[in-house]
Amino acid sequence: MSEKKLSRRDFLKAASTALAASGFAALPVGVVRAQDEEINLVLWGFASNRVEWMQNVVDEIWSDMHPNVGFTFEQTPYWDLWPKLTAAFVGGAGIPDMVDIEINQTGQYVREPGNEPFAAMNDLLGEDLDSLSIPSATAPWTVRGNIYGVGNEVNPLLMLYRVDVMEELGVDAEAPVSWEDWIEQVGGPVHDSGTALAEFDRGAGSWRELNNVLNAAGGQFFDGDGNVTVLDDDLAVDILNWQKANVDSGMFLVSDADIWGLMGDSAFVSKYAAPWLQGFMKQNVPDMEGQWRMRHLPKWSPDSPKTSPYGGTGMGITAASENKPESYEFIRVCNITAEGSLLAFRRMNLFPSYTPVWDSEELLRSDDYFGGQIPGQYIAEAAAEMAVVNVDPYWGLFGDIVNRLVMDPVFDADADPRAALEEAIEEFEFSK
Amino acid sequence: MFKSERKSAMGASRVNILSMNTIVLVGVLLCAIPFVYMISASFRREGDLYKLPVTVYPREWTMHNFHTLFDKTEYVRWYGNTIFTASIRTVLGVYLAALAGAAFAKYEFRFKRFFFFLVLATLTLPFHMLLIPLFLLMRDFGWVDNYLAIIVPGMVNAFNIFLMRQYIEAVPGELMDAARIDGASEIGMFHRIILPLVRPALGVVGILTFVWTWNDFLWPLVVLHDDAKYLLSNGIATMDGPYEVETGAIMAGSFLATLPIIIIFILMQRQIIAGLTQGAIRG
Amino acid sequence: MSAHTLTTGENTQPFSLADWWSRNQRKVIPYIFLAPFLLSFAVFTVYPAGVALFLSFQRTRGFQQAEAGGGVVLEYKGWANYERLLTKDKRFREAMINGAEFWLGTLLVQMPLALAVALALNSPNIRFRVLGRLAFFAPYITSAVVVGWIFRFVYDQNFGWMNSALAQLGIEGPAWIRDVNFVMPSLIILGLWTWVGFNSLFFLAGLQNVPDDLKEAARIDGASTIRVFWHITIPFLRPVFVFVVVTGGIGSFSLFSQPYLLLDFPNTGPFDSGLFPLMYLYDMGFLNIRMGYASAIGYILTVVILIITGMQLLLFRLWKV
Repeated sequence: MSEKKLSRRDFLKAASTALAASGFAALPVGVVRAQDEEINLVLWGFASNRVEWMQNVVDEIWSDMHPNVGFTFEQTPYWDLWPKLTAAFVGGAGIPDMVDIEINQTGQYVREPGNEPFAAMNDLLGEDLDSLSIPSATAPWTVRGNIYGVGNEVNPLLMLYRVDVMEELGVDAEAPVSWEDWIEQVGGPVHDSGTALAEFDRGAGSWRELNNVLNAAGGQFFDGDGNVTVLDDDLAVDILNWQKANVDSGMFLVSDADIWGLMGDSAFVSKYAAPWLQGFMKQNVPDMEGQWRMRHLPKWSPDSPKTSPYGGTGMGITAASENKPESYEFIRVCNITAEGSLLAFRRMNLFPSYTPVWDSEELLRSDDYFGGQIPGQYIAEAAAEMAVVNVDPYWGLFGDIVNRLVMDPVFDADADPRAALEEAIEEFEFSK
Repeated sequence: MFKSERKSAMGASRVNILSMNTIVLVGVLLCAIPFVYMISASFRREGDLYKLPVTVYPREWTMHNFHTLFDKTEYVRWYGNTIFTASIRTVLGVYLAALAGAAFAKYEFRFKRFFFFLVLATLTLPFHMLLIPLFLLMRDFGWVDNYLAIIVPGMVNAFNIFLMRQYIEAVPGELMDAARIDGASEIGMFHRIILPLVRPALGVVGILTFVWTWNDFLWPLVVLHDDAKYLLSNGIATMDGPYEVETGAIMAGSFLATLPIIIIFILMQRQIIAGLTQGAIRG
Repeated sequence: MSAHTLTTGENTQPFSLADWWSRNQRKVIPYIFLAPFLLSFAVFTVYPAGVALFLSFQRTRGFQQAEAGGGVVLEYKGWANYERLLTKDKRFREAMINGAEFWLGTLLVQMPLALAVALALNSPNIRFRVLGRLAFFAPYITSAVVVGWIFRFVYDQNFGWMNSALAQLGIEGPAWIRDVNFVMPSLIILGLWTWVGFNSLFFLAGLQNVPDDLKEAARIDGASTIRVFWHITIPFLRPVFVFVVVTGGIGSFSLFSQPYLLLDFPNTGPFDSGLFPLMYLYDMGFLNIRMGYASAIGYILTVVILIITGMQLLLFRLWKV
């Protein structure tokens, strides 16, 4: 055990020696067990593109650095991974070393202080934290100050709009600064022409419509110490009233799983989205190349943050893993090195949370799908002024309750937003 | 006069025949459409799946989904795994259910009613509740990631025992008594008299067990960790990701997965219908 | 068979196992035949059910650290889980009500339709009999994943087959699985598709058992077709009704895969209109990691199913024509 516990300083020293030896000019090498010991690390994930990226990291970067450490990647569908993981934790059998963990699925595992099945990575991360964009890289997996995951993507919400439609209507979509202006100056003419301005998700992820706009307006569901703060100010109620009015007037079009069909049919002409959606647009509506542009998100009020992060998946280490330093080394190579994070950008178009690469030419490439705009520039600008979202171990439970007791009654049955939120909080306290 | 009345009473009037045939035809169509669409979706590109109007044939035929299936996933391996486990479980499951069914149908013994009540009670316990305790048991047995965990726990199925009992009751007791006089052993009679006479029921229990194993999802998901060991249902589901969904490939995979069941069904159609229904009649 | 000969102390008469076996095998063999079932029942049902019963009195408090061999940390709560479920938990009540609604749908829509299909298939002038059987069995063998996916298409508000078809008739269709009033009908229709054909096969067998000469005799006595059906055919179908109704009741309350996949779990339909008891159990046990609460749900559900099954059997006992 003691041999494995190496200080940061040892790490860096070893890194610099190995650096010279391996010939990887920019790639410091972390410490793993001696070369003659064969180790196999098991990682469970749910997203094929992320698993393929990790396999690439192993093939292209890792295998030269640590040839004695091999990998088994197991891929399970999103909603099936968690029961499988739970069963493994409960049984203490077949627990993997690492889990690719989505932000909404972290909380339920780490509710009880001292009995968490994931390892806090604070010590392992050490100074590596300094080179990360915290709101995206670690904040979504940080509970009670313990960091249970590291994510590799910066995902600020940006506003995407149909430039061809705007030009036809003679609308300047770049001008509006606030949401109010956006609805009035852009939404007005669009709505008059018989189209919806945006789509509004009423499917399984409906609560995120509230959460995203709320976070970007500077509001929070939680304070980070286990308290619900969504009703501490009027923000959430105002946002719900505003969304409800826009849904009722047809400004926002209700959607569920059919977003690509609606998008392809030009049933709506703008969408606020995290950068990961851009890849799906290219995949699902490739014919729309050149029709879309991006800009920064309109602000709720002048002192709102520029944007908020949306979504993300990070890699965590299980408490049961017998290979924690090796696992961390892999997480580091994937997420906290130029090679690993740029590979993720190349493969999945994810803007790295590893800040030293932010000015690399590769990230600042223009994108023909968006008429030659430079997505990286927008993302970096937004990331600099992005809200930090407080997570809570009961985050997923609360989202589910908001869906049932706020979104459904408000949007389907004209319930009063404040009363609905009060009921949701009551149910939440009851369910906890 | 009498004659024509009788004829209509037999339900043979033109209107009747027409309406009966219409009911059946509409039913056949309604049942078949989703199935047919699954097959057609296997040959469509992703974009073609969500387009209106709905068409029976793909707008553009493609083998893309099958390439995805065979080149990018371990489909062939999952297929082999599934055939392997489903066959073993089916053969053992049918045999053991027939044994228990024979005991209930053809013998008198103490606690018979109580044991039969146990069989029925098993049907009402929700499997989801037993999932974690069963997983703990598999851990203690060292069966996590082992096909024994798929084959053994569900091998003796209560529904199958129930069905076998109903069927074996129809075997004439005189046949067995005669064999006893000739000195046949009880085990010998089971193999030489009971089993051959209840072949249709064996067919039904066989195909039902096979279908269950083939479509079983939750349990294999929890006990099989190595994706090279996955069964078809779990393997196909890995293509349904939150960031990337290969719907066409899922359809192609499901279509190929259904083929053996359809073939078995067509080959054994008569036996299955006969066996399936026999159990209910005596219920 | 080898003849082992044993001698006991006082009794000098030799004891032959072979003799004993040939005399007693008829008494012993049922236990041997039942042994695999009993063993499997004890190990894979009774033992896990006991663990679940134990868990149902506990609250889960996170996970044991790896050095302790994994496992969950438990806290004894007495009857608290049951009390909360039975007196306070609105979601559980909703789930049980939904189960009951689906069960009614099964009884009032699915059974009559299955019988109608069976009557049609039994008519001597029917064509495509073999095709019909295969088609009616097809939904039963199609994997639930495929069924869920296809029916999401069927019910989609904007692109769905239902609403496209209704639009042809000039009707604007509802939002189906997103409309609180249509979630249950959507599920019942899905249930019809899955089980009508399968159940009609059982009715068909029952119909083929009704003696023709009995019907003939009644008709000669001047009984109408409806009277013959009501007084002769239906009573003969009684065992089939018992079987189909009892299994339908168990199935309705333990419905899981269909709503899970159709509604895209953890979505449970607006106002939990598509939440079923087992989905709630699964949600509590696996997504919220409350094994104890989930086990308590399981036990209450088991008791309810047993009561309903018992009531049904009792009613059928009274119905002796």
